[in-house]
Amino acid sequence: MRETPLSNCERQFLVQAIAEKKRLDGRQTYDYRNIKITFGTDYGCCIVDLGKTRQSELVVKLNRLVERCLRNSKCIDTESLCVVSGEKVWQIRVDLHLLNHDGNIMDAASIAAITALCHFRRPDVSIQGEDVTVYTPEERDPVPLSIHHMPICVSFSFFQQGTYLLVDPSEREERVMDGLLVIAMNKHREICTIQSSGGIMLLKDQVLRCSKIASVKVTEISELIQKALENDKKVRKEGGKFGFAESMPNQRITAYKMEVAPVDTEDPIVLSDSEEEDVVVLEPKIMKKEVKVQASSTAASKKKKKKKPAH
Amino acid sequence: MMQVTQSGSFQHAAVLREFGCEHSLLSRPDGSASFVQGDTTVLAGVYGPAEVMVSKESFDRATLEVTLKPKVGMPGVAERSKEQCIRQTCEAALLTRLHPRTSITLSLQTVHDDGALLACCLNAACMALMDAGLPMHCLFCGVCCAIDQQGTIKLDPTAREEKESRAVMTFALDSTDCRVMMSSTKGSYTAAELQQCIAVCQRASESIFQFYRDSVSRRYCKA
Repeated sequence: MRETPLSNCERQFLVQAIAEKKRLDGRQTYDYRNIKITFGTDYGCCIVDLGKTRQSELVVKLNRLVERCLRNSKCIDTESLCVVSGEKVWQIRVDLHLLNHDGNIMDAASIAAITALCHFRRPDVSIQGEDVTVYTPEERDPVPLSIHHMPICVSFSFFQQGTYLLVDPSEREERVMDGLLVIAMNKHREICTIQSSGGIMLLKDQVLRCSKIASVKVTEISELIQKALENDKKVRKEGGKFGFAESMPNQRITAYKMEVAPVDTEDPIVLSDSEEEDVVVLEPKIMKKEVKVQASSTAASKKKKKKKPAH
Repeated sequence: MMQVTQSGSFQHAAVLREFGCEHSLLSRPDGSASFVQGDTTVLAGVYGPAEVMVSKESFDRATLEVTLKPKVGMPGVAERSKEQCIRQTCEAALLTRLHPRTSITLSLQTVHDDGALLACCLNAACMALMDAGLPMHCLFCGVCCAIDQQGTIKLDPTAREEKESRAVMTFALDSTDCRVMMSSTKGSYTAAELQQCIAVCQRASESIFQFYRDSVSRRYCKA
């Protein structure tokens, strides 16, 4: 989708607000938006909401960054994925779908990727000599991947040639920024990846300051991920309902749920199989509906004639 | 050969799974909705009417593009065929002549597939088009049913039931007369069974349209 261009007065407004340490949504300089993590019914499927960022053209950049972050940091124990050395090995694939781009997709994507990898369970295998048996999830419980550490990206956006800095930029702030610094770190304070884009020049102590902020944020986010994973594990063990359907918020006015609905098909249907044609006779039930919103009436139609009962 | 069902009771298991929907959950698209049927979840986003590439523009109507992305992997032939079914249904329902030389883009994302995927996509698409405020001359809904080996009709089948059945059918029905706008079937069945399935789906569509009304009135009514 072609982005609507940013007007000059909007740009000036944003830059001036940042100079006065104010942000559009009322956050402080180092504040993150609320992160919500929901898991699906399948193992290894999760959705991350970072504010409203939940799709776009930065896809290639994002892809490379997440790949470097996960692969080069060796967060997954690839040796444990070997089944028969030299012959058979498990291949893990992570599909990331960008649903809504409201700024800071790098962080959201890295959180989603590492959470999905932690949530995933692969089928169990047993090896007897040369024979390999792969058990289905019904036969034997699937086994989690062996993950050494969880690298998480934290993005810093710079304004006015590096004078001002913001953590977790929203979409508007990203349009106005001069440059972006992404630091991928794990909770043991080890930096996994650093990427600076936009061509801004940063001082050494600026980068060190950012890494200190990143370590604080990463600890918080790692705790959040662990809590979400444990909640999900508990719900699955207790046999409760899980999945995206359950996590749909019911209190919101924009969300609505309907229970399992039996469909009334009580009328007898008589079918005759004559030579010329199939005649189907349906006795439609005219249902009287009380609707608050203006709606048109419905009626099942016979094959030849259309009937519209007046309301 | 005559087939008369027992009076009073129907041998078919006609139960719709638990439904859920959420409107306007994405901030970037003009309209968005997510639709849940049991465990099958589809997210839809609508952009439009917006600028269109000159090569694709139509002088008298809006150009509708539909993209369906699967949960895992690249979109393949199955997704393309579903996109065409959805596109034809939406073109029939939308008043495209009101917005000539524009484009309307409908993006669908499969969040989880547990059967009746095409029906769920149609429902999500209709809710997203409503949320975007695009003019339509009728609403539409998708209903899926499967005929198992014994000949029982199962409404809104799960993935496992779909696999074990002899035929799977999806219909798009309109809201004004409950007529069939689109049908997509797989498997073997008799003409009589087809008519029975259409009748059952028409009944089911009444509850789905009532669900649409209830969810919209929940949002806009004061009570």
